[in-house]
Amino acid sequence: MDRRQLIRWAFGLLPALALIGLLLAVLLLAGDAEADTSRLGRWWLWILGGAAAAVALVLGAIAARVWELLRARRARTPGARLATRWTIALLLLAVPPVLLVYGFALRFLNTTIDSWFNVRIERGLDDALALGRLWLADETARARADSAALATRVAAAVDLQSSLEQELDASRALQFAVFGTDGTLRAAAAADPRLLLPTPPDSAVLLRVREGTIEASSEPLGDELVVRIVRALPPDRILLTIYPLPAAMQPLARNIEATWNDYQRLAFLRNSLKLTFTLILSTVLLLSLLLAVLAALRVARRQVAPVARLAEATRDIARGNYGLQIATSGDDELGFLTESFNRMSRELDAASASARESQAMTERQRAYLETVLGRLSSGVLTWDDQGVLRTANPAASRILGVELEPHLGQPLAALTQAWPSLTPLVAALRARAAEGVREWREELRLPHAGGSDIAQILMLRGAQLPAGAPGFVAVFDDETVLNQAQREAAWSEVARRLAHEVKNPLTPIQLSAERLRMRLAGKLEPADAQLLEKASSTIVAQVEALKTLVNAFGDYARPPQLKLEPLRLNALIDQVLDLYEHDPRLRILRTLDASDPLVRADAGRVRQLLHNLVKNAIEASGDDPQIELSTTIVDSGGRHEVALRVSDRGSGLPPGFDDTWFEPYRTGKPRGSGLGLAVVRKVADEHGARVAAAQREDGGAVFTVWFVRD
Amino acid sequence: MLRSMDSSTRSSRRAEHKYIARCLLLPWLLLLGACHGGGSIESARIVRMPQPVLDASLSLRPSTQMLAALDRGVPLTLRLRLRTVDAMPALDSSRRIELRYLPLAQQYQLRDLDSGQMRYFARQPQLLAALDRVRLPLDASWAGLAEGTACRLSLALDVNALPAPLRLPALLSSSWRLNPPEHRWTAGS
Repeated sequence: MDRRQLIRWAFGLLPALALIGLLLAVLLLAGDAEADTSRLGRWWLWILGGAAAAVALVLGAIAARVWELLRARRARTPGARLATRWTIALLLLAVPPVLLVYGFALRFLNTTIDSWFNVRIERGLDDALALGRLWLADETARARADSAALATRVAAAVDLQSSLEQELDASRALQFAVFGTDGTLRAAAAADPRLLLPTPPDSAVLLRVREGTIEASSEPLGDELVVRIVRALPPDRILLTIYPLPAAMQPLARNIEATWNDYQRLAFLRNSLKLTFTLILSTVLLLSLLLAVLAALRVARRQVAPVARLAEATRDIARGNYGLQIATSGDDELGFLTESFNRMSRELDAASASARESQAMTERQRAYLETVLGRLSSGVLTWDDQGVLRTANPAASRILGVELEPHLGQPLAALTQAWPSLTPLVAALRARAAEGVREWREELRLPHAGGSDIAQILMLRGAQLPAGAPGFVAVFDDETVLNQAQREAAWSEVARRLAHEVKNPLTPIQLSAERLRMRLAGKLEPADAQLLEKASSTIVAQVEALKTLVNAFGDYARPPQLKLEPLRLNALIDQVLDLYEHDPRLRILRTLDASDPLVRADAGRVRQLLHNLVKNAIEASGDDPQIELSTTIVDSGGRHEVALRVSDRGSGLPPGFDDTWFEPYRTGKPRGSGLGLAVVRKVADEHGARVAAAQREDGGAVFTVWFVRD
Repeated sequence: MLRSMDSSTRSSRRAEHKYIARCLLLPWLLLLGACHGGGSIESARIVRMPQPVLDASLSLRPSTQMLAALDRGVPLTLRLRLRTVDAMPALDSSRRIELRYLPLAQQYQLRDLDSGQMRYFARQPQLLAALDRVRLPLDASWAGLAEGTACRLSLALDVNALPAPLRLPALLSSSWRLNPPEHRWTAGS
């Protein structure tokens, strides 16, 4: 026990000590009042002061505890309200009986004190006293007579001392003494040693005796009563005689006097006695009430303490502080409750630790899964049986070109509202989920999220999740680039083979046809010569056309050897269009971005791209070609691009125009090589640019190439 | 007999009501002091003859309650306290005088409780008049009291000597106080 605890313990003991002190004080005062003695006279005020101090101390302790209780109630401390109710209930149990006993005791006390006094007893005592007085008067009268006779006999005595001694020997008196009128002793004789030295009458008696009065009185002498007679003794002397009373009557007389005295004193003290006992009883009542209040507060606190600890611990448990243990409060029901709580707390703690471990494991698994999903090149989506999107890995967002993470926890249908381009995907996912197939695999074509007409090809694989986690998973890959690359590789191989196999024999064919025409010219008949000329010209022209076609295939198949450098796109456009200015039929409208944007590109390849697009536009325009070229800077998802648009006012895109039209040998024109747009796509791909075609609302088509801005 | 009992019951109830009324009124009456006691010390001196004796003249006017108590067998004790003022060595003595009534002999007793000397008087006035001159023996230390030493004498009713039930009322009520002013004089004057 440390010093602070010791001081607290001592302060806690003070009220008990004060109560004990108060009890002792009350007992002492009650005993003293009952005994009607003065044995505590010297300590009486100290006892009263001590009792008052004890009351003040106990009141202070009660006030402190009540204040503490009220403060706890205001602070909503667990158990405070219950402790208040306990205290009030205990006081209601304790106080009424105490007050009842107090009332009855007070009444009983008053009745008892009143019963001490009785008119007949009082009259009897008065009669006894009167009888005693009559007896004493008789004895006094006898003493007066004896004294008178003695005065007569010794008045003329010559030897007064001897005469007094002789008279004393002959009488029953205890003392004879003769004084002068001034109180000086003349002679004395005493039969009792206590009276050897006579006491002279005081001046008042001497005065009255000198005036002729005979002073007769009964007085105590030790435990006895004697009769004292003082009378004049001629000439000019005073005779003092003391006679005893009969020994047999002495104790009776003393008893009568003592009893009468006690009774009268009690009668006089009657009200004071009642008041004193009332005060003592009230003090006892106060003591009982204080004890009851103190005990009620203490008992309530002790009884409620385990409940308060339980309530506080419950709050801690609610805050997640598991494993809290409370000191048990005995082997009663509260103790059982406390032990049960402790057991529950331990189990909760163990369960919480297990849950934390599980959660940590889940978190590790989740992190592992996220890492794996994050590193996957395939897009992964999961959704539950309610159609709510649960998982989307970064590859899914990247492939679909949308930010899926904000939509986690939302229905799949919400994706289509945000991005209509995802409608086929969402419809497929929902359909497969509704069908309840365990696994599926399909290819999907999605319009590009950027608004171009380039379809995105997804290879979609899906499956139901296990029964423990109802829902579905879909894994998809972007097959668009793969398909295009495969096709481009095939076309390049075709072009390379065509260039190699076809181009080589063309020159000998052309040379042979020209030699044949030269050898035979002038040797044939005019009709034959004309036929020869026509045929050889046709062969040469067709060979030339084949060469052009083969060169085009060669250009397409040639591996790119790009020389990328900053290129002013507007200037290049102007240079290319200048070549077409000589055509009077052609109307060209230029809307070039004023900022003169730079792109990083190979000027020769871009020039070819431009030629192909312009030719394509002119060929699509028919007899009244009207084309427009524009450059604009666009921001495509944080990526700065320069959009080159070539528009015409022709018949527009052919029906069913899609991304395959950018593959070789796809043309809607009767004399098209089918390589124009393929080259455009190829050049665009070489520069990391995108290309798309769209119908114009007011007729015609528009081809757009998005270059990355330098 | 019946009439007597009825009368006795009525008397008892009346007495009870009176008691309750007294209980309620007593504290106020005690505080107000319905009948004040009083007194004074007329003179005092220390006489060496050869033992030192306090020769004092007391004028005592006990309250009616005190006198009633005396007649009803309650002895009254007066405490006289004699002290020197600013003297070395300081002298301090107390003497007690008891007034008592002897009902059988119908005498009032005046007794020096320290020396045991007693005087008897047939009537109360004689008893009180006898206090005009009281001679109380002092201990030997007072024999060497130097001339010119300032002395003081106080007189009070000894409440602690009263019966226990009377102490609290006596403590609260002015009718149980004498409290004469302290008497001061110079030795030898």
